[in-house]
Amino acid sequence: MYEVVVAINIGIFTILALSVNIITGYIGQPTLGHAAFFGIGAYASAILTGKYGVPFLLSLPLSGLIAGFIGALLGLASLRVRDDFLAITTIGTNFVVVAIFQYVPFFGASFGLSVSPAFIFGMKITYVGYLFLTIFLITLTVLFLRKLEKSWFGLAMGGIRNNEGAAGSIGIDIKKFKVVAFILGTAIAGIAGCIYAHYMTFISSVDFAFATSITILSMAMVGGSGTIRGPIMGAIVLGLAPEVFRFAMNYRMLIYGALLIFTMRFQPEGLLGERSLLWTNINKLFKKTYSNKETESGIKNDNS
Amino acid sequence: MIILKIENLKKFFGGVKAVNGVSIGIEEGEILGVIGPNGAGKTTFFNTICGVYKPDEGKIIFQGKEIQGLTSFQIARLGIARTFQIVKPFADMTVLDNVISAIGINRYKSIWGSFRNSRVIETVSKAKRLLETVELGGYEKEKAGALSLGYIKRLEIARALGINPKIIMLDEPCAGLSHDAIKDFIQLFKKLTIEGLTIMMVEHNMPTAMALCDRMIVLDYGEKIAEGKPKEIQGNEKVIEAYLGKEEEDA
Ligand SMILES: Nc1ncnc2c1ncn2[C@@H]1O[C@H](COP(=O)(O)OP(=O)(O)OP(=O)(O)O)[C@@H](O)[C@H]1O
Ligand SMILES: [Mg+2]
Repeated sequence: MYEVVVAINIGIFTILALSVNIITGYIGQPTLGHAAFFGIGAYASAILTGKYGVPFLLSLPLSGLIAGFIGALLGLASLRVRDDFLAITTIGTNFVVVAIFQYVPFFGASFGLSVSPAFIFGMKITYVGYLFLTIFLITLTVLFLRKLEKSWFGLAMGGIRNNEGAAGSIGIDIKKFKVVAFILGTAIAGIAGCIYAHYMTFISSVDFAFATSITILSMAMVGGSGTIRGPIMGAIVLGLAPEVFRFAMNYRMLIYGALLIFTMRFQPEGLLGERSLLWTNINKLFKKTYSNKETESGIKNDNS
Repeated sequence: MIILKIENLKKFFGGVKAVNGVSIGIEEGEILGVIGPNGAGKTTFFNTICGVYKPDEGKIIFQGKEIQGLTSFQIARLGIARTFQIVKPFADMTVLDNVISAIGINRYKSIWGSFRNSRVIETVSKAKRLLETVELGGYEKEKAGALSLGYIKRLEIARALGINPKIIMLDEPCAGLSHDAIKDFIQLFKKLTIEGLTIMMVEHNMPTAMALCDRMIVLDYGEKIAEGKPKEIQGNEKVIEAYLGKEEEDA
């Protein structure tokens, strides 16, 4: 049972890390408040199912929609501010959302909210059920992201991440794509929140505080932003670490934060990023088998 | 036929009159050179036409339609492409993806449409063809940021051509290139105009501009001080003064 609980937790954080990566990794917008949308999805589903009797299967996409809608507002706000200030805006969003959960009676205020158990086709979801549901949603997310990476949308995000001026010069509507990227990332986080709420059966504002945002971001960045494998690896490694090194549990946030800064400073691509040390070496190892001259690349001399 | 007409264009930065009442018509299929000393306003002139800045005054008429005030992505969609004086590659993307992303210009119009696969055969082969045109054939898989400056300039041209432009605006495409590379570029630009493209380019190097341009305008302190065939420009007193005056200051 303990293994299943750990696995569900890691699974939920995998979805979160993959979703924040759309905003930070693909389209390159800093966001330090992703847990807010995780929380919005969780609270939305708790209230929809608890107070309005909405069935879980309907509440799942609805919590995504609600989180995505509020994400759109943050996206719109992001158009008005530049990088470093956007980071602060997103932190602010996180604090405001947590404060609302914390103080508004409708959201249970400081007591938190207990969440009604979830049923699918009349059957109550067990822990194993949640594990499968989480794995199913990770699979969907990965399939979606793979499609996204190969799509025009993916190229538009790459253009914006690299250079907005150049992106505009090839017809990319920067504002539109930024807002949609925010919607996608936050909606997926909202869906993760819905699962979390029902599997925990009890939620309170601290679950979605700034520290959680840092955890999510560390997973994506340490693993390797802008890739699919990176956030997955990051969520697994950083999710398992505190289980393995029990004694470090209390210093978890300190370690995540330090890892995040260390990554940004020394290996901005993350462990498994496209040009990271680890990934290039893994690639080399595999390429050796078909070694040919093509891989001998590097900076070409200007023969022009 | 005049494809792009600029009337009394003005762009000020506070007290700096970067572009101050410039008018010019660009003929379809010609190469129009824009020259002038450092800080004359050439790049600002281009940026204002391309929608990076909104003009403070004046009209920009492209194929009979007023386009001033549109944003850069809208102007690109009309068929006005550009390269940058300070290069702006999509550095962490492959050379091939840099060009493919431009070919998608019409796919970005709808969000739904943009979810479709971009790596379809026609698109990829078109991108490869454009890379061949600028002689970047072997570099498809390289990251754009790993290329040398000369190659990035080639890549920017391929990317600009990717949007299928009617007119392309090149901001100092030859700056920093070797003699041989400039020769290649001159041939390439001539070939493109034969295929019907209109070119507007900023060029610092006089001999290059002379060899390439059908007509030129000269900017100085944001104003157009001369216009005409390269030969006419060469002997123009105002132009000589503007250039020599600046050189004395520099020395
Ligand atoms: N974004 C800006 N904000 C304020 N001033 C600017 C800006 N861009 C350009 N300028 C000023 O406008 C004037 C024209 O600059 P611009 O870059 O257009 O000249 P240029 O002819 O392209 O010069 P160069 O040959 O050096 O490329 C200069 O005085 C410059 O300092
Ligand atoms: Mg310039």
